[in-house]
Amino acid sequence: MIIQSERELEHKHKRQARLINIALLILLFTTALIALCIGKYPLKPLSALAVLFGKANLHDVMDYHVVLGLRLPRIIASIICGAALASSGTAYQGIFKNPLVSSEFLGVSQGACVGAAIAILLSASAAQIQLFAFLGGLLAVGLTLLIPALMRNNSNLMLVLSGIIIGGAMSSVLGFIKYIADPETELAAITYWQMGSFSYITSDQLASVLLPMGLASLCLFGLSWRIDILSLGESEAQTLGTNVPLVRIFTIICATLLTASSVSIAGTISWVGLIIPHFGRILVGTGNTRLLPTACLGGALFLLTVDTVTRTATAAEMPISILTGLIGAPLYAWLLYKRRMIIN
Amino acid sequence: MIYEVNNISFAYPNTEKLILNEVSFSLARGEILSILGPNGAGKSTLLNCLAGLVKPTHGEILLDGKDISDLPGKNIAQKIGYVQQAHTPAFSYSVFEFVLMGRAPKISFFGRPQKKDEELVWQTLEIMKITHLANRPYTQLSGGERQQCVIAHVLVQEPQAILFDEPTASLDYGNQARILRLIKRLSAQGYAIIMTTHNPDHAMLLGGKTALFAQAGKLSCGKTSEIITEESLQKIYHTDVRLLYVDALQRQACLHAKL
Repeated sequence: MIIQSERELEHKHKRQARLINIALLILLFTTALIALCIGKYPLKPLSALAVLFGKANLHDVMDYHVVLGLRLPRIIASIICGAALASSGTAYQGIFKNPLVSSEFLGVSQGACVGAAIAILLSASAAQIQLFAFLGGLLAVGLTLLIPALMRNNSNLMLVLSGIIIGGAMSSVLGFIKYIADPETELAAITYWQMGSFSYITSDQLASVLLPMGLASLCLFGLSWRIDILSLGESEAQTLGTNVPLVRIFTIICATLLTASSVSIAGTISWVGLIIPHFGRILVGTGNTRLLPTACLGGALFLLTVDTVTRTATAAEMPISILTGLIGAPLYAWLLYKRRMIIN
Repeated sequence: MIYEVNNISFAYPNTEKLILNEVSFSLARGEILSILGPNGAGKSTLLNCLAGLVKPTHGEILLDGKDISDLPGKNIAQKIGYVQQAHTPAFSYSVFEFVLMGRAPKISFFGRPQKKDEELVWQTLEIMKITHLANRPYTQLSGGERQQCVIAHVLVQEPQAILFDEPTASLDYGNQARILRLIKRLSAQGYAIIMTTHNPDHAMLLGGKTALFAQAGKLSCGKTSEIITEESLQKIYHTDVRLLYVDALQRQACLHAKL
């Protein structure tokens, strides 16, 4: 009797996770369609769809320009960046067995920002900016891991503090870069991009990040069960025959690549990588095989919604980080309160 | 022989002190070895060596005839299950998910568990009589329940030997007995068992072999009834310990003389 009911319950959880993912996917498509239609030049859903599938009248040039030239790249960018940030946050939290970290709390975002800013100073191409952002992010996470290792202190708090130290140092370096940047041209570019924005996304930029993002997330999906094992702790994972350094480095590379790609096209966008995984856990549980897809969809939906609101709510568009912070900070405080037992 | 341990020594890097000093013993399937010794004597270090987590500085450990330091972690994990001292994971996996992770040594780098792995977990939960816990968060279990789950997690590894690091620590009196009974049953099923404990009476209840950390990393190993004596216990614990034959129980028991 017990066996049957417990098995059914476990199957039910699995089915629920699938249903939640399907629901999120439908919601994401609906939101994307709404986002295509609203803005300073409103469109009817049908005409937006017509443009999308190439069925509209060719003399509606404005429709074509707004949908394909402006809104679609921006919508795709916010979707892939949301998915990338949320899945990298999930992966970092898993391998560091620490629910309090994400790319911005490990200094990765700031490091990627420094790398990208240097590339902007050197007037590099989109691909080069991305490479510099990746190297900067990798350097930052390496330094963040170094401090707890040197102090022989593996606690969650130590890692978070170390991330704050490196993040702070990287922000200072960024400040210096801005200080020496040409105030007429580079400074404005760096500042605006650093605040996080999808307003100047071009299809070229999108094309340059799609491949690295796709590969990195595929690898993370493949590794998701190993990340579970690593989250049990280092020696436990080792007794289960897992090559801990290999899984850890592989995951760090993938997660950093995701963050850096997102930073290189949209600047630093905080909070997504931190809070979305927690909401995913509430929805589908802790196992990363279920959590990663849900976090991806949740992050995409969240960032698309926030970007659409920043784009349409006020006459002059505000940087997206303002809104993610306004939403993310109180939500995180609420999560800390709700999960305080577990964090202790 | 599952284990043949030949003259292993261990010292931490850049230190002189030998934690293990020329330790040797062997263990066959179905045998139980209890390891006794004062705090800090090197019991956990010995288990970590046996699990392949740390490498002895000298000597060799043969696992099924092969030198353990030549074996990849995955091959070791397919032969040895290790129940480490209780830890609290950062994430609240369900008991089912946690036990399923025991299948890791049998699953490829990018792989994930299949139907047959899940089936084995259900069977093991059933054998351990903890099916009712399957969907509970692992972090919210009591000490005794958690220990049972960890053992189920190790059993789905399908090992030949199981190492226990103080399996009865922080358990209440009844749960201590339950875990010991389980360990005895596992050895009867053919698993080789190596267990550290602070309670000589547990070693006596289990019978089999006992190894005693006498002094400075030296280990004396043999039949439990020969190794555990009043003299040997008084020597390692520096307190007055008595071995008494209790008629009502028809066995020897180990007791403190007085405080």
